[in-house]
Formats: sequence, C-alpha cells, structure tokens
Amino acid sequence: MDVPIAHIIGTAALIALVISVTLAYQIVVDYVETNVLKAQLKQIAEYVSMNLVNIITLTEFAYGDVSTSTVMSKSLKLPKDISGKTYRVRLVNEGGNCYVQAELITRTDLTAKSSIPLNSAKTRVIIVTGEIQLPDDSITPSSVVYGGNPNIVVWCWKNSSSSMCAGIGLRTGGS
Amino acid sequence: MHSYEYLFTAVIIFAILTASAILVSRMPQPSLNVSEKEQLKTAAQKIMTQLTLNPGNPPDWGGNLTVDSTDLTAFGLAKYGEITRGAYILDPDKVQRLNENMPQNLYIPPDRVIELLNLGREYGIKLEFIPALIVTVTTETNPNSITVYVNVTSDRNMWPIANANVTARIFYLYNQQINKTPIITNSTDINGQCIITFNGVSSEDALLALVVDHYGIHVVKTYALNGALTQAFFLGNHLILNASLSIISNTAYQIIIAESDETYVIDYALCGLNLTDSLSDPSYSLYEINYTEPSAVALLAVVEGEPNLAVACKNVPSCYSSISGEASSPFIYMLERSVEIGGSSYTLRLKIWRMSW
Repeated sequence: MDVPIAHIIGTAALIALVISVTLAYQIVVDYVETNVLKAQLKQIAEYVSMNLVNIITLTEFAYGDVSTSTVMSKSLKLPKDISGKTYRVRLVNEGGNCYVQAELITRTDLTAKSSIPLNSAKTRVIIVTGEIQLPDDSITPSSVVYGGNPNIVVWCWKNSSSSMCAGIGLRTGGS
Repeated sequence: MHSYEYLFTAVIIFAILTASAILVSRMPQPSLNVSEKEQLKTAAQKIMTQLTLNPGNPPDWGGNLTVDSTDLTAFGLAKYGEITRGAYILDPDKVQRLNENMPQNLYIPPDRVIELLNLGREYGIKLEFIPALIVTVTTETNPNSITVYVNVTSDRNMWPIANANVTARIFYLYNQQINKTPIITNSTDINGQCIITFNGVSSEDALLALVVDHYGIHVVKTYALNGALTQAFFLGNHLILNASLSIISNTAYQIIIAESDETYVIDYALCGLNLTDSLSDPSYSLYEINYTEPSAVALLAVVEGEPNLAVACKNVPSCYSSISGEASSPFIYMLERSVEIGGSSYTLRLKIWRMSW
C-alpha cells in the first residue's frame, strides 16, 4: 500500500475513534447523571410522602378535636431545582394505591415514586388527585406542584364525621 | 508515522476513555450512598409513623376475630379509642397477631403487611419488640412455698438494674379453685436481683404475675409455672383454647395489673365464658368472654385433665420480619421508638432495607 493512502486511512480511523470515544463518554456521563438525578428525585418524593403521612396521622390522631372547617397543613421546603433542572411533584392514585411521583419537566421518562402507606380505596382517608373545594381559602389543592415554589404544602381535611381528604397544594400567594 | 503508531494512539485513546468512564461513574458514588441512606431514613420515618400512630382499618382489627389479613385495608398497630388516644401506645391484641404461633387466619403475614404499607417489592422490613427492662424469672418450688428469683438488666448492655421495684403475686389452683397469695414487693440489689418467697402455695399449677418499675419504666411479666398449660391465647374479648381441652363451669379469671397511687395492684376478676364456633381452625375452641377488663394481662381457666390450669397470656413477639433470618443488605436503616404495649415499656426497632437498587 502507498504510504500516503496508509496515512489517510490511519488519520481517518483516528478521527472516527476520537468521535466515537467522545460519544461513548457522553453516554457514560448521561447514565451517571441519570442515576444521580433519579436518586435526588426519589429523595424529594420520599420527603413529600413522609410529610403527607405525618399530616394524615396528626389529623387522624386529633380526629375528635378537629372541626370540619379546619384544614391542617404543613409547608414543605423543597429545593428550587435539581442540578439546574426544573421538576414537578405529582400525586397519583392508581386504583387506591397512592404514591408521590417526582419528575423532571424536560425529561418525563426520568421519574421517581414513593408510596403512601395506605390504601385510599377502602379507608376513610381519601388522597385527592383531582379537584376539591376546601373550607380554607388560603390553600389551593393541586395534584401537581412545581419545585422551587416556596408555598408548597401538604394538607389534610376532616370533611365529615367519617372521612378525611388529604393532598398537596399551594398556600395563597403561590403560583 | 508508521502503522503501529496509529494503533498505539488508538490504544491510548481507548485507555483514556476507559479511565474517564470509570472515574466519572465512581465520582458521584459517595453522594449517591448518602442519598440512598437518606431515602431509607425518610421511608423508615414514614413507616414508623404509620405503625405507631395509626390504628389501621378497621381500627379494632386486633381483637376482632372476624377480621383476617384479607379484610385489613390499612395497617397500623396503635391502640384505638373512641374518646381518648395516646401517642405511641400500641394495641397488645394487634401486636399478638404478628405472632406466627397464632391460629392460621388470625396471623397477619409479613407479605400482607408489606402490601398494606404499599411498599411493593421495593423494601423489606423487620420489626423487633424489645422490653425496656430484661426481666428473667426462675422459680424454686418447695413443699409449701415458691421462691422466685428475679433478675433485672438493661436492654442495651445487659447491665444490672439496681433499685427496681418488683411487685408480684401468684395465682394458683387448689381444690379446683383459683387462689391468690398476698402481693409482695421488693427491690433489686446492686446486682439487679431480688428474691421473693410466697408461703402457703401448695400447687405447681400456678401463674406468677409481676411488675418491675424502675423510675417510671415498667415491665409487666406473666410467668406460667411448671404445671400450668399455656396452649391458649387471650385476644380481645376471646379465649382461644386448644380444642382437646374443655373448661369446667365456663368461667375464667382475668389477671389485672393496674397502677394506683404509685403502687401496683395485681388481682383477678371472675368472668363468664361462652363457647362459640366461629373460628375456622378446627384445632382450637373459641370462647367469648362476657366482659374484658382493659388492664387484663392474662386469663386463667380450670380445664379437665391433668394439669388442669390453662393460662392465656398476651404474648408480644420478639421479631417480625419479611424475610427469615438476619437481613444482610449493605444498606439497612434502623429506627427506634419507645412504645407502650399492655402496660409494659418496649423499644420498637424498625429495620428497613431496599430489596434492589
């Protein structure tokens, strides 16, 4: 083989290798970043579900003392973003099995779930994932809240003598 | 440039890629480990809240024998009261139903609890019920007396507990009647031991009931002596007895332990029993108690045969786990709460681990 042709083939092969190495490196970095983001999303989902369980337990514990016009709520402190990416927290009810789902807005395939340890279908606690009118106007129920909002709350309302509703939402002044 | 130099360059580039990929994947590992531990911590707190402060659904599922594991719609061990509720007070009947010695359909299996707690296949859990004081009892039967040796140690390091007040009484069978000794109190010495002698006890068909109190931490212990039968369960307002035994005169004695003016009263109350046939397990007979004292810790009944004293105690299992044996996952988070079960102080230890990462 002529020497110049051998050089051309060698140089082209090297360039192709550099490109493929860069791509491969990017894939590895993406994989690692996905794992890190997923862990952070999972932590947020666990935090929200823990607070939801706490507020439900507190309301249930004070069941006889709480009137039907009182909505118990707790403000959540959630990070503004996850590694510079915006995210949202969603409350999901799948046939009574309720869980909190945290997901990135730009990558909806990247989600993390945290279960709420009660079956909402048969207990007196109803996890609200739709619309509901609360007696306390300062809380707007919502099944989806966006991270970074400082007014995110978990709430629980004893709506009758035999049932309670709980969910997430925003305190008035939030967007 | 020779061809082997191209090859050498390619090898170097490939080596750089491999090294970078390894370094990049290892870099976030410490923070990932911390994050995973935090997730377990949050999940453990959530489950502990549910277990200790929520009565479950139906709220009286512990003593309600018509409720089996499939009828439960929410799981919690807290004691339920229509008027008053106490924090971290667990229902002894609910705790008893975690005991795998219970008759079939009354036992709540761990996989059902995992399902009720909505944990899916993601987590494994283990519950340990550890008495706040470890009370060991040995007895020595003499012709006309019973000597009880009580040893009290700490649950943490097994150090002896000195100056613990021990209040005890023996209920024994004599002439087909349940008799009781006077209440005897004593304090543990520097080695955590004390000796109590009950004179005038002429039968080994007996139950020892004692309370150990150490500056507010109290442990109730019932101890069936050699001759007494223990093939019975005291659950809610029911006595579950081995079907081979039959009770004489359909009466039983509830052993009551209650605190009164910083002292403890240990006594019995007579109650009537009605034989019902609503238990599906044919190896047990089910008796309904016409009235159950809230502070009853055991039930005594005279049965036909020898020995003829049946003892049913409220047994707290020491361990309840979703797997058999010790969990050996690299990440196990452990959380403890002080709880009260049937008048005794316990430490409830929850261990939680991820089944997969």
